[in-house]
Amino acid sequence: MNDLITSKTLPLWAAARSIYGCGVECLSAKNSQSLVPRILPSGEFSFGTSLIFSPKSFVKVIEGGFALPKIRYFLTAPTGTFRSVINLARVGKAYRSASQIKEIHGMLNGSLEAICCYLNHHLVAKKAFDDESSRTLTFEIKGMQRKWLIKMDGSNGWQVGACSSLDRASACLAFNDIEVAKNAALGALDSWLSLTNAEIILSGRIPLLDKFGYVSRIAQNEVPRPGR
Amino acid sequence: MKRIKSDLLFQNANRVIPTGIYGHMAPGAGLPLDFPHFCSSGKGARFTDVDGNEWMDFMCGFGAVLHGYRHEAIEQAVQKQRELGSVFNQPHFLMVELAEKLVELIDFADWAVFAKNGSDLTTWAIRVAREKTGREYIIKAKGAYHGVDAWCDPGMGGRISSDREFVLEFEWNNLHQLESLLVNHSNQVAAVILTPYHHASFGPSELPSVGFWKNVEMLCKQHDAALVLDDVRCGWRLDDSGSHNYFGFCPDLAIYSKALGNGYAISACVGKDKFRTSAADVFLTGSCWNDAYAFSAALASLQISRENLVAKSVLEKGKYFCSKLEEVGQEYGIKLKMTGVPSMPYPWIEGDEDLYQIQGLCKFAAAEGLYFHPHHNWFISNALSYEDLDQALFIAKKALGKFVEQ
Repeated sequence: MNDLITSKTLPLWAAARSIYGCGVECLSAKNSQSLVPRILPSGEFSFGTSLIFSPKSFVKVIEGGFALPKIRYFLTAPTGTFRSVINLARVGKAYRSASQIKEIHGMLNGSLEAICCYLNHHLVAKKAFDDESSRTLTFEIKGMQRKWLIKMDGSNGWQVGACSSLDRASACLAFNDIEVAKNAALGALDSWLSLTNAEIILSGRIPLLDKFGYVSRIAQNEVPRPGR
Repeated sequence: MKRIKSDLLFQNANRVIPTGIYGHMAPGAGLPLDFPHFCSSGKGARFTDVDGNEWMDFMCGFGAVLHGYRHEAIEQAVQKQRELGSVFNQPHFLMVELAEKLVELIDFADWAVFAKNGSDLTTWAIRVAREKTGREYIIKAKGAYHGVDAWCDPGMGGRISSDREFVLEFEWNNLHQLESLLVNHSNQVAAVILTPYHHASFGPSELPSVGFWKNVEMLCKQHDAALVLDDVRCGWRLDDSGSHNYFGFCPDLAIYSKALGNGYAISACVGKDKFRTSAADVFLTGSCWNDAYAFSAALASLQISRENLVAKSVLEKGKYFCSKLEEVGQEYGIKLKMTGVPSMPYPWIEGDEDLYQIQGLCKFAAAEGLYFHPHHNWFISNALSYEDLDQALFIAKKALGKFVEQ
């Protein structure tokens, strides 16, 4: 898989992981499995076992909400393909409306997944943390129990996960409320202004967050997103 | 602390300046919700922010101010020069006077050149070393700050892979590593550039271990590499004639800035005679570098440093303050250690590698009007009197109490 992730395929791979990351929060476990992404040796992107898009179609799906997948799997594996289509549409709806808390959680999880892809595969980003001895960061929304942890996990690379009470991160980014978190996930937050008006509160080892911010801006600039 | 104008101004700044405030003064580098974003005035060891809050200062413009804000003798010298002019077609004659003063003050210096910022001359100095030796590699300590240029800046943007192709790093105090680099790159190392002691941000400062400098000096001689001292931050805070005296060694080239002009932008590089020709061959200029106001400020600042033994004074004040502050920490069960040299101490709490505690402590101090930075070494202004320091300690105790209570 890693050989297939190149500077050219990375933005779409990050988008695919982001969709899956959102699905994990918004959908049932079974349904989110239908969105597990892969890059195929042909350069196409698959979700689940049978929903396959060419890179061009996948960009259309993300940015416009619709594109034709490879039609042959509708015939050979109609149930699985249909499930993936439905779940993809649900994630798309979550991104577009983002009215429920679980949808915003999904977007946030999806954004972190995309950034982790960059941390793992982007030529500059993957070196950003070379000098850091500690590589764990938490993300939280004030007043909410749900927390996210991203960490460097040996050969598995950077991973997003739920943060338990036992996890101790070296740095923490807290969103002041759910709306700020939503805007952050949509890339609609001015991070510098947000730092000074308490929309975002940073604590802990600030260089980690600085580097994370730099990588997230690279990802934000490259990864296609809805309505772009 | 009231903070209305500061926030409004930052919003305006953010519209017309990328990130609003950049570099080491960016809000995110300090305490964005507790420190002011903009200042309006300063006098002595205090400054006032745009909302009218007065702060007792322990950062001194990140080291640029040694004798206190708007020091009378320096302001008089600059005012006198203002009546004559700043930048002309030729350098003002004060440039020669300042070069003579530095050559007189600094024992190994045979010549001096001037610019505006430390970076201007750290980068130039390594080019001089490359010109002199005909070699490519530079060795620096890991995590050390030497300026904003691509070979050494702490940021991530705008860099290409070749920027650091010829920069090697070793862990501060690890002479074995340094020697290995010199041996493994035999006849390829142009210079070793170091600060007088290791004062990286976001971590405790490290003093040179016993024999460190003598060995560095010896290794540089053995391998014909120039020893470049980046004395930008420490200069005139450890010794009135250069920080190499404080640690007892002799560099080939040294760069000064910050305290040199006491807030007026100036940097200087001094060097040994054997680097004179190479220095002449590495192009150096800047439109406003021959700034007579800055020359006059630097001359006045150096005179004050010498007459009042300012380095000794800030070291003593720092020692007094640091030991008392550590005691206050102990009273509250906080293992606070003021690391580095006392005139520019870095506060480190044992077990606080991720900095949560020092950030909390500095937040409470800020609420009481003490400008204690959680991520950068502090600077003791010579304008701080012992009464000021006692007052700061009193306030710090209050802040620590609240921090512990929380």
